[in-house]
Amino acid sequence: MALQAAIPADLGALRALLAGAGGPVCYIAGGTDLLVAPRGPPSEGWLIDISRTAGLAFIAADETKLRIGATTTIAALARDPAIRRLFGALAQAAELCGSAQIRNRATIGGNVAGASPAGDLLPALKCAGARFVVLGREGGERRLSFDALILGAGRTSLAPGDLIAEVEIPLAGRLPRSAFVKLGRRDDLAISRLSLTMEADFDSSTRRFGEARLVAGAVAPTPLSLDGAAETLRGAALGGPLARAFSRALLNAVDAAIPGRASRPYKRRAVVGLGLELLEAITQVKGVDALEGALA
Amino acid sequence: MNIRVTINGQTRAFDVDPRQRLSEFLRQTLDLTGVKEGCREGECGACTVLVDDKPVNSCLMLAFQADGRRIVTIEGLKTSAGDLSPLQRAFVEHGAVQCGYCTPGMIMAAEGLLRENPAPSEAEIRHALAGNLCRCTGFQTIVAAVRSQMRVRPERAA
Repeated sequence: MALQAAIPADLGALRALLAGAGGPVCYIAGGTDLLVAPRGPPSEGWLIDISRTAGLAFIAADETKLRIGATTTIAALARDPAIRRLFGALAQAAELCGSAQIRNRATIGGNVAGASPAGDLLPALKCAGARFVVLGREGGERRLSFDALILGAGRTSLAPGDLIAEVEIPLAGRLPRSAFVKLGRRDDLAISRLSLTMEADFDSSTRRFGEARLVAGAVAPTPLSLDGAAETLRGAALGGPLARAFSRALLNAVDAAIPGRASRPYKRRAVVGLGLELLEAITQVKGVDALEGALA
Repeated sequence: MNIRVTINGQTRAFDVDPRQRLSEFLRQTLDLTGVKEGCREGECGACTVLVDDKPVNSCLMLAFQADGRRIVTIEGLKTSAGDLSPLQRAFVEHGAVQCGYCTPGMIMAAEGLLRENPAPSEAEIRHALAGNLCRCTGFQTIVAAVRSQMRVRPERAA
């Protein structure tokens, strides 16, 4: 069967289409990954454009969670006031993703489904404890945790015909500050060589940290929780000893995560510099890298 | 697949191959060769067009996805009298064009920026044009040309 294309207007039309469609199904939204994939779009079955399917592009907050429809563009995430207020790291990650042209087309659902080790939104979503609403081809709906969905580099637990419909970020447990920092070969349109996402409680008058959560991107095949490094911040005051302990914990985490990898000598040094940049971003205190002994 | 699309102000129906890229469709079917295909992977920005007023890489969008949308290419910027648009003229006057290959995409990205944000700072201009590569002029004259078009023009910190 030759490839057939469809643009379902809403979720009802999508369900009707799936019920009657024979052969494999491939979804396309922004297309910014699919069209650069080695095989490109499929040559048979159904190619379904969900980028304008009503009910899939929205950002909404209720008392318990922030809900983001899967075809919400990266550009929309970057400028959304609720996301900037409730979880700024996700907006910052979105703003640093690709170019303006790519952000205008690429979607949060596509970034998640691609499961790239360098996927910019993934570490932020893991840090926030995001869950994913997945629609099955037969019409069922299930919710998956981050770790149940993202299995490896480019690997997810999605079955053929499954569709990520929505991302949910729980509001319980959100910490007041969050930040995303990224290292690429240039400032814009650069694949992450390394990224760090943090959520933390930090009292600017006492300069002391409370709770903290930290996730690294582009180190391991999937985003890596750095609990040991986050632990060095809890209850500690911003200063040389904190910066030194934090830097050492980051370096140890990279050493443990990628033993023998060719990029390790680079990443174990880079993570220290990026970690100090992250401390500046989250505390809004300048000159963290100049703290006595920070880089020791 | 049958689509209806508005291109540079004219709405027409077409039958397109579901695998054809929008950039190929614009160049080959409509002869809109101002759309350049430099890299076909979203790196160079030479194929930038406006889709519903937003700049996108037409090489990363399939033609059938343009159904029901409004596309503007560089050919659609000219005034009703057939003259260059003010932004196009600014590129000429600032020496922001050398070989010209990147120019249509660069202008469409800048046009998209100015439609959304009529008074961008220099940092905002550079961020918005980061997806467009120029290997001839350097970016100073390009940024200067875009800056000259700021509609409200208060000087803002970068």
